[in-house]
Amino acid sequence: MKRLASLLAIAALVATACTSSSSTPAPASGGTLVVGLNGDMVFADPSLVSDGNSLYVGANVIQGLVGLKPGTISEVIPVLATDLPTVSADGKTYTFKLRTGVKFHDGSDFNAAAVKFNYDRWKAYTKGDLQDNAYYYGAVFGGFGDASNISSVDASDATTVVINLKTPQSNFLLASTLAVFGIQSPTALQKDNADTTPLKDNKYAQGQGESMVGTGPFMFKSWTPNDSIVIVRNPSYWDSANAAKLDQVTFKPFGDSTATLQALQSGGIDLAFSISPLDVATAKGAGLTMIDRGASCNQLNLDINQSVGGSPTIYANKSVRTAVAEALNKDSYVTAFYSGLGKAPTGFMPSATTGFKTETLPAYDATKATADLKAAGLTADQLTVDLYYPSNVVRPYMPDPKGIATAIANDLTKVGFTVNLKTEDWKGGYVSDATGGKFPLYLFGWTCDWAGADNFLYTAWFGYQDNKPNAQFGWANDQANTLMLKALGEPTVDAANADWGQVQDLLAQDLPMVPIVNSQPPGAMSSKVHGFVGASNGIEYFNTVTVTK
Amino acid sequence: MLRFIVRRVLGAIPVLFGLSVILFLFLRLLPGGGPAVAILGQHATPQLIAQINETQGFDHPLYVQYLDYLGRLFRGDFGASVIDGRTVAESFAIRFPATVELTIGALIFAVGLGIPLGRLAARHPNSWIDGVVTAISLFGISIPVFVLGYTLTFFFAVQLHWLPAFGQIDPRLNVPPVTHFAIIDALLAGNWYVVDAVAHLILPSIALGSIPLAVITRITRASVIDVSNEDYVRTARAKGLTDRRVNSRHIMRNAWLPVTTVIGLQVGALLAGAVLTETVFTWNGVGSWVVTSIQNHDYIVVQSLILIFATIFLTVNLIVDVGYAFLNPRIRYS
Amino acid sequence: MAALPGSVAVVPTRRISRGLWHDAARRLLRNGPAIVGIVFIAFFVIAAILAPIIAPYSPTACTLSDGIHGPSPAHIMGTDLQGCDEYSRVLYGARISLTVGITAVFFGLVGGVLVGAIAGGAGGIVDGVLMRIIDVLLAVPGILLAIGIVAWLGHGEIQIVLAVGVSYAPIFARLLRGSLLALRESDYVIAARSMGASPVRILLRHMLPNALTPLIVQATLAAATAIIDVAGLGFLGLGPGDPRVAEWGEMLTDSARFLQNAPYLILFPGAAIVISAIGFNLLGDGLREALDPRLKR
Repeated sequence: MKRLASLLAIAALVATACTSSSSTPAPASGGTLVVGLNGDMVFADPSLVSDGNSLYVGANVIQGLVGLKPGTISEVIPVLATDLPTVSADGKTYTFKLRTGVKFHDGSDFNAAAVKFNYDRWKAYTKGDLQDNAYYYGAVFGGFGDASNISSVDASDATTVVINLKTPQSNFLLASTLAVFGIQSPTALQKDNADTTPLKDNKYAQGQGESMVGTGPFMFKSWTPNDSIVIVRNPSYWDSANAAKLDQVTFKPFGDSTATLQALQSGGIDLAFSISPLDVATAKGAGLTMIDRGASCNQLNLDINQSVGGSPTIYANKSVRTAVAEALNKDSYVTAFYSGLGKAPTGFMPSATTGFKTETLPAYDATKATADLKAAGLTADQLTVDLYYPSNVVRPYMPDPKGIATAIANDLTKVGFTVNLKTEDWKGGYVSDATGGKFPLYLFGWTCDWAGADNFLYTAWFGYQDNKPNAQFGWANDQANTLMLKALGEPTVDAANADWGQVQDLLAQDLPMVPIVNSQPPGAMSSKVHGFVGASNGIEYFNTVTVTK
Repeated sequence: MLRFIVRRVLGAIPVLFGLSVILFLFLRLLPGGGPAVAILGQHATPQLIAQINETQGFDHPLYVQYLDYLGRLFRGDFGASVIDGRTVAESFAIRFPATVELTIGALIFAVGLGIPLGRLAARHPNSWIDGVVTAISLFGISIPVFVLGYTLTFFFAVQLHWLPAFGQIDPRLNVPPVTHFAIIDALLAGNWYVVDAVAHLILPSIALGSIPLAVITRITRASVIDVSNEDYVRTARAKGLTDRRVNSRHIMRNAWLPVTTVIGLQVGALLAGAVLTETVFTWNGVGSWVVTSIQNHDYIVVQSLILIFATIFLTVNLIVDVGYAFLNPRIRYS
Repeated sequence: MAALPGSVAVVPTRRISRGLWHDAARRLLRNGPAIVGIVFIAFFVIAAILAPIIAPYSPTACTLSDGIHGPSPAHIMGTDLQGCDEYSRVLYGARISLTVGITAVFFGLVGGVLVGAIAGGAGGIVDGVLMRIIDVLLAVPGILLAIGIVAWLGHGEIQIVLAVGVSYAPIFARLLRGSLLALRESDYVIAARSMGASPVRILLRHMLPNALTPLIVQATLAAATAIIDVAGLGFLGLGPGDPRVAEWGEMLTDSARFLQNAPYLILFPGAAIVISAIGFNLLGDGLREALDPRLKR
């Protein structure tokens, strides 16, 4: 066995010998970083995905006009644009000045025509496979084709792009930072026809051959489904000061947190995008470096539905909702399930979100909760409640759904409820039943797409659907809905934020959900990895990273 | 013999057909929002789910969907995943070799260790050696595979750093996937990378092989003892043949029969065990694929995979039966 | 799961009399390993029955802030993530785990006996059709069948019992049918037939009692696998829905992630599963030898 190990070591040396001969512990350039992801990429065309793994890889290869400052969740910086766009007074025209001398990985030029090509391509996505997968374009711009809020994109000269909106859209700039709006090479997109449907025949999306051709510090090299995704250094990156130092990053999908941690400890991978918060102590003890994810961009709630199947639930009574909120010892959940990496919310969104307003939420007080519940005058029958939690899923805000649900059930039992714990598979009915309004009391949360109030309050939760209150909550409040629509259409972010503030006041008044935690999902890396900047919105860049031998 | 094989092959067809119908109905009647939820994740609102079900044809009448599926199946088209658009054939070509390697590794472990252990125990029945062997085999079938897997990884990969913790080969070696058999690919890549591929196979093979090991040990012990008590073995001994000769010429030759049958049966158990083992060791094989596909309601993939699993299982059993007939000429198939 | 370990059909050749049962019981009690098996099982059965008396704490009244403490005088097996006393949960867990394992096998046995008896008794087309269906089920690796059934029926103890039971039924059915076919040609059945006994009577009075002995052996061995399979389902996220109910499989799978920082949470429920599985295996082997004296040496 020892001999085997030494042979292995030799093999590893052979593999890395060509990269660097430096023996100093100082950070050196070159080398391969192996990153453990939570799952595989879905498509090698970021415009067709909405999952975290695809975008995590994609953001290192493909860049947009604007992006987020590394490590932040709402600080917009220009990327392929030279500056942030100038906006017309009516909020309908955004003008971007583009960088010059930027080339795509296939050698073709990046210019205004390329930007226009991409924006026009997304808008023209046909019904079926393309629209079904390109969630974000539809969600941000209200639909495809004529339904899109983008009326036209003009390439007025080689370095100027003008985006014309039909109506003002206060989230335009922040949403534009999404990795799905990265600009890909028109030459490459046209070569294999990246718009081919069905997607099983789409070589570009499948990552076979020339795919994911952008302008980023890394270039897409290969993708063996469910085994590995390889990106390599772009030797002619336009921003030489921030060019990639590593030769290669290999992403490896993992399906299980115990396996991920053991892979990291055994040295098989260098960095794990996420580890279970319950493993933080073990990871630290094993000499691993924890990834600091900074401000939270997610929220777990105990969702309450005031109307299930058309009839009001016991939660339609505000004192019941208040009693539920007061019964929960959120701080104890943060300690037990998140290893302290998170905190109980101080409002209805993570506090770093644009437009966040601090609100006073009911504090943990089991005695008061018991009294409030008594005052509500429920029968014993009504006090027997179902609490739903999802199985077969781990979300950044919900590392152990079963455990948290058990703790909540125990807390609710202490104030006078009789709780039946029920579960469904996340994909096998849980999400559709929750959003379809079938659960009265259940765990649900949201990881921000972009860190704006609209993304949490309107998209995720309380926006009316088909002019009716979201079935997920059964919370009818026309005033809040009108305010939210007004905020979305404000020409400036500041004007919108004033509206969002009022919406949050209404939420605090009515308490239609119980925020539980904003978490900072932990990741970990070997002590040999340097220069990594974590962020809690799921986009992290590897160009600054080095590995010591 | 040929007639027997033909009859068995023809007999498998209605079985597979019945399976395809059951699978189809079963999958389409699963509760939940269908594959749309797997595509949309947290964005799965009832409106978007309905939209995807419509455009992807999941709201068509069941018989239309089934005939459609069957039609494509007859043309040799296993369809494509609804989630990542990859054809089943393409993914299968990547993942099946991994499962084959793992299964063979586990069989080598189970047979290579099980038969000697069984013979050893049979040679000293009811002694302490027999006791130890029995204890090992009892432990092997009584410990859940995932507990064994994690524990092995913890000791040999995390603590001792002797063996790798996951996957088929070190991703840092950049071995180009040609055949997707990690060992063959590593051989093609040269540089003794094959050592790394073999090292990756050891722990998963032990975890997956633990149950077959127990079964094979027990059956070997039992049949060796059985044969040793037969008259012709006693006669051979009485004639003064050496133990060694009696062992190889008389006992093992006959004891092989039940052992072969059991090894064949274990292939089914190995395919089932691979479901858990591949998850524990992040092994990119068919076992973990079928689990995620069931969870994703990825209808086409699950249907095709289970059909393939069943076909493999039936084929292996057929081969075992035929092999049995060769080993034991006394059996005549009518 | 598809092929139960050690499944060797034992087809008795004589009609079972009271004397044979008596002999079998005597042989069983002389079989050292089988006694060990009985002791292991009895240990957990007693623990299950006495749990409310001997358990120091309630298995469900837990304090989150007391979570993950190693063994101490107050909690001899430590506390789990929810702050529950692990020892009390292992004791109470015996109730659910043994019940689930045994009921699952019982369901499988009932289903298998029904199908096997009809097929083996009726023969002809009925036999052909039923056996093809059994072939279909046997061709699917058992745990996949169970995964599918839980995915369909939803989470819960009853669902798991059904899922594991259904995945065993085909094995029992095929075993029983095989024995019945062999018995049909046996002397005393032919004799009974020639004396004019009705086919149903022959099946119920003469064939089934004999054909059941290999099933009893197989079922005992299956009880061992069932307990492990339930744990496996839990590992794949398909455990019973209410985690407050103590169940070994769920306790074990929930603790797999504590392998490094709280290994005792794996050790105790894991040991309970392994020991009870070994118990059923030893008993099954003992029964096999006891019921088929030919194997006794």
